[in-house]
Amino acid sequence: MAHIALPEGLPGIVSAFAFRPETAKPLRELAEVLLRGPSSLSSGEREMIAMFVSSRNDCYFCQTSHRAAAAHHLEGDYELVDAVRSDYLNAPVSAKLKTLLTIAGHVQQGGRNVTAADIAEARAQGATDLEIHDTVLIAAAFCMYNRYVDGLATFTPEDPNLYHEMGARMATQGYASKPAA
Amino acid sequence: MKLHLPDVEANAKPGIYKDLIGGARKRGEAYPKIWDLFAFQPPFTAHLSNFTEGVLRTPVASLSPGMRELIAAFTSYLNECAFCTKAHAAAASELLGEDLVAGVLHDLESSALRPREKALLRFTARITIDLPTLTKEHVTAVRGAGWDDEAIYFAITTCALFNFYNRWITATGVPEMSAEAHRLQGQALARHGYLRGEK
Amino acid sequence: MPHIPLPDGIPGIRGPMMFRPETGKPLNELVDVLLGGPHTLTPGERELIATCVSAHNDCRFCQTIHGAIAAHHLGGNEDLVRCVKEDFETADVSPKLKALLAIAVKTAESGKNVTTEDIGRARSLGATDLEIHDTVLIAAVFCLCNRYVDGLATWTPEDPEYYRQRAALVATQGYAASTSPKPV
Repeated sequence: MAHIALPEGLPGIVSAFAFRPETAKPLRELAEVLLRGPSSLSSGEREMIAMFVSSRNDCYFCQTSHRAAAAHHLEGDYELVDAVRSDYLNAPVSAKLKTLLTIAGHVQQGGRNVTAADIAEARAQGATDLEIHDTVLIAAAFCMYNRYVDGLATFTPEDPNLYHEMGARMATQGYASKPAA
Repeated sequence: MKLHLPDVEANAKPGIYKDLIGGARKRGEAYPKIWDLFAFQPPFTAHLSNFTEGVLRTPVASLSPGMRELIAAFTSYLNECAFCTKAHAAAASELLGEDLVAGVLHDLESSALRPREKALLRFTARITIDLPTLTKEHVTAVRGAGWDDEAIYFAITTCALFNFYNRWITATGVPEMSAEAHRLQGQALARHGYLRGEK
Repeated sequence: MPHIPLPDGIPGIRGPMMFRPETGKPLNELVDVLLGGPHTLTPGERELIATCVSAHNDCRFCQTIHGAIAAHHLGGNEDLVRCVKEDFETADVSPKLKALLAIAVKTAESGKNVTTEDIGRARSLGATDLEIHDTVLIAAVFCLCNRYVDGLATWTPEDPEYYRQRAALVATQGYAASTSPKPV
């Protein structure tokens, strides 16, 4: 049961959004810009960073929903997303994305863990300043969303089909507007 | 204390308000006598409850229920409607803090509100006490203080609704209650809103 | 030196916010609603929560600036802010705020560390659901801000006077106005 009286029947962060619309608006906007806004990183890559950080933070709701959103952007390739989660250095993704995931992993442990060498390696693989910025902010933002979801003990559904559908909605309809009630 | 309209008070029609009044009388408790006004004509006062709930509680990002209660209290204060001022100051206090609300009702300009909230309340004061001078420029000024049209819509609608309530309550003679009764009522309004079985 | 070329001479989080205004806008709005908006928790109490979390995450810029804003709201009481950062359980603040600070620090470690006992303690001392919600969200938001600031190695000024002056501006103008790139 959630720690406070959140609207019933809504999963994870959606129930917290409904509880406090004034903070939901900027929280949704931030996710929309970071994960679906115009960027030289694909939405699939950005959703994988979100999934990866949420997995390191052990947030079931966020990692499972963003896993599904990433897979949706990647033509249903859950296998690739799961490979990134368990061992990204040996997963079949670009060398650049691997360096960005290293940065994201360090941000998750604490901002000071990001080293000049991490940044130099990302640059050597062709990462731009904006891509590095967005990687740091996506990782930092999921350190927030994960804590928000778990800190209130929001309702966490278990049905995999539900996450599959949720991921499709996140990928196609995005984060800015409320989901249809 | 009786309403100015004893026949209204004596003729509650079956419905949720008649039940509420009956329950309070049985327990010998004071109840907000606005209930008598609702109980007299349930077929359409039910819509007023729904309307009030919508205006004050519809979840929107741009204006919190606390700020809407504060506008309700501030409007009622300007109209010198003691019942509504106390009822909605109590609800606003639950949501925004007692000191802040008391400060606003004492003197908006020196209160702890930020400039953007003061600008919105100043605008609602003009609606209440100086409507004929209100122009598009005043709306533009509120927008310039950082409020979007949705927030301004809710502020105007709250203010307009309480200009109705204040006149309804004062002219029918709904008396204010004890400070403690208003505090408890404010708590209930803040937590449960304005619907009592109407849908 | 920052890891990426941020605007010159802009300390802390404002550098990356100006570098990327599309994300700066919702972030700023979020902080403004949580720390600046009218609330049953005073601005000083909410800034103390932000300060405590930032100290726990060892983010020098955030703990110094929010500590200074808290002190500004608390009549310049920098000693109280220092005590809260060192050990809030023995600091001279209300029992309710102590319970909320305990929830905030646990949220900073991991959301899962917040227990029903922590929530029960806050509630028994009069905390409302909204206050508990906002405490968790303020803590979570500062887990973002702290990582954003340090993850990009933004500039952290040394001069305490910078923080005092900036704090006075934020406390009186709010976050939205004081972060505007236009002169205010």
